[in-house]
Amino acid sequence: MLSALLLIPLLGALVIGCWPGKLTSERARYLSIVCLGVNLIVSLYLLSQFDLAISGLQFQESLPWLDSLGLGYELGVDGLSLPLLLINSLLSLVSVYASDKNTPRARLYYPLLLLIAFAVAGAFVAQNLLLFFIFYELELIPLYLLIAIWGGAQRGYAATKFLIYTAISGILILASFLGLVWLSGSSSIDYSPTMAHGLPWLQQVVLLGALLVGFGIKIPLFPFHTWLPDAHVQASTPISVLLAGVLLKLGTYGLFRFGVCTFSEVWVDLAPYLAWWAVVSVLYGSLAAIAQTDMKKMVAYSSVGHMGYVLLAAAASNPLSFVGTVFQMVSHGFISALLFLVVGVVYEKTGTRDLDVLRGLLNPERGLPLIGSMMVLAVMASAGIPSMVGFISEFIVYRGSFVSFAPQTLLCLLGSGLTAVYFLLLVNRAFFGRLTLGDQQALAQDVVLSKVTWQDRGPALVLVGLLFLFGLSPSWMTRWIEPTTTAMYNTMPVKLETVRPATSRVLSEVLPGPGLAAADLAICLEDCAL
Amino acid sequence: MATPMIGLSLFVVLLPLALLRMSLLPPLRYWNPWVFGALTLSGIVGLALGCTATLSRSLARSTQRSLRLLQDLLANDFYTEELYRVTVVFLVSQFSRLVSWFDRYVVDGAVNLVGMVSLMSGEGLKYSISGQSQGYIFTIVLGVSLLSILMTWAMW
Repeated sequence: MLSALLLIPLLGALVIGCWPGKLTSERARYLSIVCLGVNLIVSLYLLSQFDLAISGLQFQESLPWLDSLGLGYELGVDGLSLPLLLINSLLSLVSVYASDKNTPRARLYYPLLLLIAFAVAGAFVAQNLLLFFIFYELELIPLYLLIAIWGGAQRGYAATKFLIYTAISGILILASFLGLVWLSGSSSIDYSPTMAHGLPWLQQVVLLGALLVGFGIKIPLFPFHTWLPDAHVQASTPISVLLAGVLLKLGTYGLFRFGVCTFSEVWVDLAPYLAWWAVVSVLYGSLAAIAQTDMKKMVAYSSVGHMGYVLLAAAASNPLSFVGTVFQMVSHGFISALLFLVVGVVYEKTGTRDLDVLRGLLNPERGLPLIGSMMVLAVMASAGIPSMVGFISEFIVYRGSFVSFAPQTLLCLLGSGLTAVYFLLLVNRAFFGRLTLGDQQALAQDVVLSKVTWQDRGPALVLVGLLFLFGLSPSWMTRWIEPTTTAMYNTMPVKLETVRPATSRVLSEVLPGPGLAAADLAICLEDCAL
Repeated sequence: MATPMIGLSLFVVLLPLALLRMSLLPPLRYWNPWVFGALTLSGIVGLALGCTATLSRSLARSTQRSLRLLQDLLANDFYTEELYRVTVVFLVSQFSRLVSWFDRYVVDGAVNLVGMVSLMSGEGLKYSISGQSQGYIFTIVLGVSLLSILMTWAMW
């Protein structure tokens, strides 16, 4: 079943790449849409067959591959990877759909997009450390080529920077994985949450540190984030959608699965520092976003800020904050994909993303009223306005992390306030006022923008629908996530409360027992509903 | 403009009635007649004053300095907006500029510096080739001896 999710895009890539005869760009796009549409249907079928009562892995597949290396084809999906797997299927389809019908070298372009869908899905379902690493690295090559060939003016610089950063991230992760296997004396590289138990404290810290930096580059966290704004600015819209919506989640997913769960003893010791790291990342990303004049760069820096919440929630290490970790990944996936789609349409129609140039795009006659409205919605979702998914995820994150780290949570709340600042600046500058582009000389002539087609609006509309769907009924999402994250919390040998006596009192008041995440979540969701 | 304003006025007028219907208002014995009377009276007096007072543009601002300051203070909402601008907005914008500068020249600058140094040293190495065999042999001997020192370090 899971292999189908990997095979469909891979076969699609092969078919398009080896298509006999002439293959027009339009037909290649059509074929990719069909392929990823089938992929999405299979993912939805997987979702319908997913047993909510089981907290462990489901749909497991196991095939010996290179036993001498410890490499096995071990797949499985649980509540942590299922939502991300779905986001991957959806956003890959969106990115192919949003691709230009006349993309040059389509025979290479679409197979590369399909390869990314394949590699990311593989990384999310891989249950063998080496297999995860292979998929993690596999996704680099197509993305590098997509930026380096179809990117903007400085694509070479941005693509190389991306490649070097992410390759270093891969080396660190591989080193940490191999170190973990050798030091623990394990005979296989299959992933198990108890692998690091029994290792000396220092060894665990070093291994976790390598993982933190490795995944920190991918997430990205300050100060390893500088590849992201460059990559986003130079990448074309569909690639930005994929990069922000799916690929960054590989970092948080990896950190959560292999960092928190495997090194839980050390994780709890480091948690206060990690929470401060999250604060720095959130405030840094938000403040840097305020100063940007390029819309894409602003959204890219906002990603740096919003991914910091994931680290905060993961550091807080309680059942509720673990749900918040996954929920924030999902919500950021939807919101950032929508933001990049809309910015992409604005760029396509006006030819610029400069906030000093754009004015009054919300003009109902000659501007982009529907696109502008969706921008306003995306901005509101990102700033955490109730009834949209951003509010729910941030609320769960804050409510979960406040009991563990009150000052850090309050400072991160400031970051949410700053989100409103920079996105209101963006909307105010680009969408309100009188419609003009560029210098005042052009004022005499009315600006006429080319027509927005339903192809431009369609994917964005779907994402807007999802923002509201999971914003109004978050339990549809949390019910998949929660059994797994609660089980993960329960298997942690050391809990945060026992390490920090001062907070244990607060924690025990709010969460009298470890199994009470459901009750707490219910309260939290009731609060949201009010 | 008119539609929302009229809608809002209707809402304000009908709100007490709606509260009464849903029995959300407190019973009559909790009403303080003095406060109720004073509130209503002050409203009526204010309305009457507002309707009858003649406005003269030349007299709108007092010539007395103290009175004018008070007038301005009230007219500008206690200068909240200005206060906000010089504190919060100023701080945030300065901080964001600082962070952006730091990001561009320190964080990104360090990365670009590393990249440039490695490229330059690669280029520089190209020109260190003399073409004479003694140069190559010297490099090999140096490398091998460094390696062997490194490997036998613990035995010394």
